[in-house]
Amino acid sequence: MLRIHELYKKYGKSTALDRLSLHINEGEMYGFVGPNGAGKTTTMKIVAGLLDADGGQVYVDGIDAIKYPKRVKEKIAYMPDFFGVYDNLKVLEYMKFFASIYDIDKKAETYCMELLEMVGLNNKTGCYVDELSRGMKQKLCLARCLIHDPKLLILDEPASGMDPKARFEFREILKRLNQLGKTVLISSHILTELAELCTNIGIIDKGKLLLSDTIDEVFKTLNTSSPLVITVLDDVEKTVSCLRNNPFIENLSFKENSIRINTTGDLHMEALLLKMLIDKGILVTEFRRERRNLESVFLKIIEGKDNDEDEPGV
Amino acid sequence: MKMNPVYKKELQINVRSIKLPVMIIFFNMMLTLIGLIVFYDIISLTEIEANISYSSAITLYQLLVIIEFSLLVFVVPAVTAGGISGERERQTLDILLSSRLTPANIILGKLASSVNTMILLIISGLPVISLIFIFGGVTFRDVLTITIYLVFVTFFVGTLGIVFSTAVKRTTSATVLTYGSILFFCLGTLLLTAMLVFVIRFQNPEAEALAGAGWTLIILLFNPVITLLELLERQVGVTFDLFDWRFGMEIPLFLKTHWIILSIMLQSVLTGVLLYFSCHQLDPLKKKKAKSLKR
Repeated sequence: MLRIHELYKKYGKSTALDRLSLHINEGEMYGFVGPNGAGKTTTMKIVAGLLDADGGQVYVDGIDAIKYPKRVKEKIAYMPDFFGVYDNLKVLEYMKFFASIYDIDKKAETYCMELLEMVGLNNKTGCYVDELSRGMKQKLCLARCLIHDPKLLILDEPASGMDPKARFEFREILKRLNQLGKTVLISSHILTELAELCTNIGIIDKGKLLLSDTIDEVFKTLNTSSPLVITVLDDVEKTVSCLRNNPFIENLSFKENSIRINTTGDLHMEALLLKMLIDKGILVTEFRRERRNLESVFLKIIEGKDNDEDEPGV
Repeated sequence: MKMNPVYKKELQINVRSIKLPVMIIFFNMMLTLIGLIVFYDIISLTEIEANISYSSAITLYQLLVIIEFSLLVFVVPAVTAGGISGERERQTLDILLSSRLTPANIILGKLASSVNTMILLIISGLPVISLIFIFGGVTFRDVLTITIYLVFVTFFVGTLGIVFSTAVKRTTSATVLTYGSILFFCLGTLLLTAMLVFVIRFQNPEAEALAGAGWTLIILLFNPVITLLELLERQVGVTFDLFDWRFGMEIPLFLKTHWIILSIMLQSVLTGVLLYFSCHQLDPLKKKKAKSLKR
């Protein structure tokens, strides 16, 4: 659905996008994660035809977005991070305004009502847009995005500033849209939310894509580098002495019956370690990798990248 | 024919805004106040001289039209200068630009809605202008011609507002620049002509040199005030002797005969060029287009 190849953009002397490449398949919910100034909004704006690229290619549904922005605009909808408000315009009128842009004049009201119902604003049609809460405004903006039935939704930090309830509701709407076959590119700072919502994730920093994979693969890859937690029923000292002799173990710490180790080995080593403990008669009650959340994954990748850059000769 | 969505939306917003009735009240209050003062002056003179002077009635008409013109020129930038920059400040411009709307759709919709508001002001001022019909000397056709010219000036001045609104980020800056440009077209062109006349006189003090320098007045074709004065003079046959904008020079016959049409044509071309520039300026992908044109 979206293919970005070696996208390059400079603002003056600073490089916003450094040959960024990205691929999003149809029906994916792609989480775009990165610190402030990483290049998320720049990427989204280029795809939406709101910004010039200095190099590279963008294809939306097979159409060159840089060459044919008009054709691409029919297939995408862009939702900026801030919802601008028109004074003196009611919710239904706001929707009808966008409907008229896409030549939906006949049955516009019925269609707009359907979309408003989808986002839960069907009882707010007579309200002025500027009187809505932040969450409602964002939902209205999402309904507006759907007016021309786009294939790709580009949502730039849509949940920022929302309260937890509104955030939950918004997430549910996005899930429903994804189930309806919409491809979604969503950026956010609320990384845990992306973990629950997205099928795929891409981590961007300093204009470069550091990682792009399915959310399960991202966790699987990073899981092996997470500390291993072993809880035993008793005889902690015996367990610790057994583990200390293992060449794969980098460091070890323990508290009560729980031992936390960092290893250099893979899943095979993990299985052998467990077998060795059982063979030595140690009663193991828990043997697992510490589950990392998306925030720690994100920080680990960013830190790893920074360390690589700091090392001379890398 | 499909109505421009931006124009339709702007109309909807404008009629609900408190700005519109305030503008209509202020505009008509000023026009009525000045109209009534001059009207009272004419009546007072009648009491002394026992007859109504035709020239007084004409002065009333000229004054009313000039006041209406000045008010329009004063109000239009306030309406148009926030057209695009206002969208930018509200952060709604990206939403519009990412939709199917083209920069031309947005700009023309904005301009048309502003001109629409101004037409409303002009129409609301017609009863005051009609005071002149009490005395006669001016026909309905004259009033209609002036009204059409005022609508044209609104387009021209409105375009200046839109140009600056597109070029700069803040509405305040756009408003200041629009007033500055209006000042240039209304006074600056006069000043420029005066300077040229001064240089000609300085180089050759003989009267014949000045007589042949009438073509320097061509600059004034861009001045909407001069065209208004010329139009009024042609309608009533009396010069509104505020100042001699010809600087004692003889206007070449061709210019004199076709002044109104030439002026309107030149200002229309300038309006078109400025609108094209605004559309280009608003296009987020203009650099790419420029590059492909170079190739």
